[in-house]
Amino acid sequence: MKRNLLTQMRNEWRDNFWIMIGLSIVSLAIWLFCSALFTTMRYSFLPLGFDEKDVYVVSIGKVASSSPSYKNYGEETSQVNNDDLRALLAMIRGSQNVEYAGFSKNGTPYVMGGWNASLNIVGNEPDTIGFAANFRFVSPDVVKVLRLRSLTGKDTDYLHNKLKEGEIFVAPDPEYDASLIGKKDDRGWIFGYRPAEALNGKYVMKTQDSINTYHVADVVELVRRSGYDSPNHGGVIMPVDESGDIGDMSDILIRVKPGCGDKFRKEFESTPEMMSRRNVYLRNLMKLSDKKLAAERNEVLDVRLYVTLIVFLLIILFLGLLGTFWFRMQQRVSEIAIRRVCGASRSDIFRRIISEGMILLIGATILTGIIGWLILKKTELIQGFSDMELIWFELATIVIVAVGIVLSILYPAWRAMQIEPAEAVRDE
Amino acid sequence: MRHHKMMTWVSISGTAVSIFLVLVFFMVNSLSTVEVAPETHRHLIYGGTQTYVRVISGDHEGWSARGGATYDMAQKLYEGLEGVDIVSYVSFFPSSVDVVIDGQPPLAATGMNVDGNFWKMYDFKFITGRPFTEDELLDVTTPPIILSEKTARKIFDTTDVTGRSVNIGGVIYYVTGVVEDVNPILRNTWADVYLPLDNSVRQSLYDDPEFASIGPIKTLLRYKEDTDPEYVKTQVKSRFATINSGFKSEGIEIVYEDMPATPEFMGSVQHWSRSPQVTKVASKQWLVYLLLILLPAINLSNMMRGRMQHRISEIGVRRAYGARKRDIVYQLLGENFIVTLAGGVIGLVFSYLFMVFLSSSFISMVDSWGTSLETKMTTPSFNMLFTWQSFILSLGACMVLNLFTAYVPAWRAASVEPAIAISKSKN
Repeated sequence: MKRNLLTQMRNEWRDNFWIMIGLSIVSLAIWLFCSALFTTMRYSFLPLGFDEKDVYVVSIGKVASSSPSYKNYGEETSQVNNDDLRALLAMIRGSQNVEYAGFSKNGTPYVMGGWNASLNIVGNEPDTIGFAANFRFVSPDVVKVLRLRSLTGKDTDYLHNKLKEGEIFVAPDPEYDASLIGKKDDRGWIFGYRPAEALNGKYVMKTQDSINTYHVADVVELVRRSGYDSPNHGGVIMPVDESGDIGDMSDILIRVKPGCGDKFRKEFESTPEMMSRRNVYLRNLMKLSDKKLAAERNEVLDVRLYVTLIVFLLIILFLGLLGTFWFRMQQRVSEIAIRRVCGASRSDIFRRIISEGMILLIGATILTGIIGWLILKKTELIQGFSDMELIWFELATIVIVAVGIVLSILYPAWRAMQIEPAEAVRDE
Repeated sequence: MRHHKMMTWVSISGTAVSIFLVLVFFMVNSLSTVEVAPETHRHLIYGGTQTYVRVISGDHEGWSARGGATYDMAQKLYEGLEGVDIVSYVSFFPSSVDVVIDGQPPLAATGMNVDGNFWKMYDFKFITGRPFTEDELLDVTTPPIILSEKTARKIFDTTDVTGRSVNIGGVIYYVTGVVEDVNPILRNTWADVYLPLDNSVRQSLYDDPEFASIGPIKTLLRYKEDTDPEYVKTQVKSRFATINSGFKSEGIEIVYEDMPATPEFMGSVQHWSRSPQVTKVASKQWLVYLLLILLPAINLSNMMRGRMQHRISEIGVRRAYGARKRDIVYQLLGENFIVTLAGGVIGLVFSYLFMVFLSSSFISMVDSWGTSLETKMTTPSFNMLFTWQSFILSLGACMVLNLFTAYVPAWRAASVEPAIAISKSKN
């Protein structure tokens, strides 16, 4: 029967050739979109490291010293500005709608910048292997605003107190760590990279800062910049001393009481004393989740676009195959009837038609594979993937296209199954 | 057609999907060149965008930097070129500014610094007031500002605000006019507030003496209708050469990168962040169109072949009664064209609806730099999409699709000898 089918397909080679070309083009495009989709979504399944629900962020602005409305207090100006900023934070903390609030410098998620440096362990021998990380400077209260998560099972009160005492936290790079499982040596070192856990409980120094040492109090989950951003470095949470110089703080992070977001916004916008004080003002109060929308917009759009394009390609494929097989089945009515008369069951007929689709898929896959490896890999369309990853994408493509094929020929095949032999061969 | 109702619908939907995709792709691309107010002369507006400086000798050999130009450098490169009608200097990219309003949270807005010629180069519609002039740019006592309609309403609740003052980051500006809002997709003219090109944006961005000519300015050049762009390029190129001969002793070089950039490049997303030489646009565009047409064409053609085999006896009879091959082919092409056209119209309508209502959920058409989430959600307006080009393209795509799908099957069906054709009438 299989040979029979191949002969029949050979007889209709012209149609089948074009179907295969069509399938190959669709497969090639889907392959391409799958790889693009993977590139975009690679990191979106990793934890974010913070809880953004009920969190607001407001940016700190300063009146330019060249402005006529700038208040100049001579040498005291920066002290006055610091006091004013502290007063604004105190006003926010005093609101009945707010649970916690604190300063942040590079501590706000969904801000795509970075403050990159390294930590080195303080010891008898100079430490040559640093721990490279994105440094986030925050008030101790931010631990509770963002609900940082300890990876060693400590609670937020512990983290809060430790940060208050001037200790710091480190966060591992999840991507790098995953690839190193079981490969660490006795000291926890490998390939010039030190995992975050190796720093826990140690005294460390910032590279290029030979004065200050810090005690690492805990390992926390990395606070990522966005859900799509590659976490290709570790993280460090550094404490901000609110009573000191806070001139370079960029935002205030606020956790409102559950369900009190709108109330807080109204209160903030109708209380000028909460918004500005002499040279310092607060601007652009935003829900952290809205900041997320803006920060992740391009990636979200890309994902939607790729998925939509794949769906559209499948629709085109579906319509084409549905039509082609429909006419094919109509032509084969008498042939199918004869098969039924000769003892073929309905499911035999069904299987035969589906097999026809699968043979076309195999042909198209071979064609796509050859074209894909020859052309796509050499152009800039697909780059930065290992051969294994490309094979995975092709497998994903084959599955997607196979589902498409089965769905397209399901109806014509079902119609063919319903053919009554007596009726079909009546006019023969 | 009525006999194969379902298949007719399959063909129409297949065509509609194809035309829809072609048109959406076309319209997204055409947004970078479409000519609507205020960018009505877009095809004539070229740009001196990036300045790329390399250190070629000395201690810092190998260093390089990119950016816009300083006012001085921009003038040296682009002022007084033959064939250029108007030259305008504007800020390199849009900036976020805070409009301070007493008793309210500051309003985050997008600002653009422009000179007096900017208002001559583009067709802005002034709701009230007038543009500021070249002479007013450096006025420090009453610096001028122009607001967009939306911004004026946000700050003052009205557009009748000429002469009133606006506090931007602490500097007090005086409104000389209010212009109709510009769609952010028109990225060379869109802003919430238009600030004067004052001294704060004319200087270098770098402290290093090597990069003293890199500043925050982009030059816009409006060519005369009959200007040969290559001729302007030659002039600019020789100016680069002259400047470089002076730079040689300083060990630096300002690299010529295909300037002035074309109108297509000036309309592309975040054009100021790329060099026109590195980015060659549009070459792959036609490949995508072809693919989007070819794919459904192959499918529809297969279907058409199936349909022809059904009608082979009818064709045979017609041929037997004296119809010529050509007549048969024309008739079949005509019939198929009705199906294609119906699909085309559906595709056209859906593509407009998609672009106006849904496109911002799938495609980013606005520069992400300096824009709020609300701005990022901008979709094109109808007048940016209803162009004769999109109609011609959809009609053309239908015709090509029709030829691709129907010509060969029709010709083959018409070529079968009438006797054989009639004898095939089984079904």
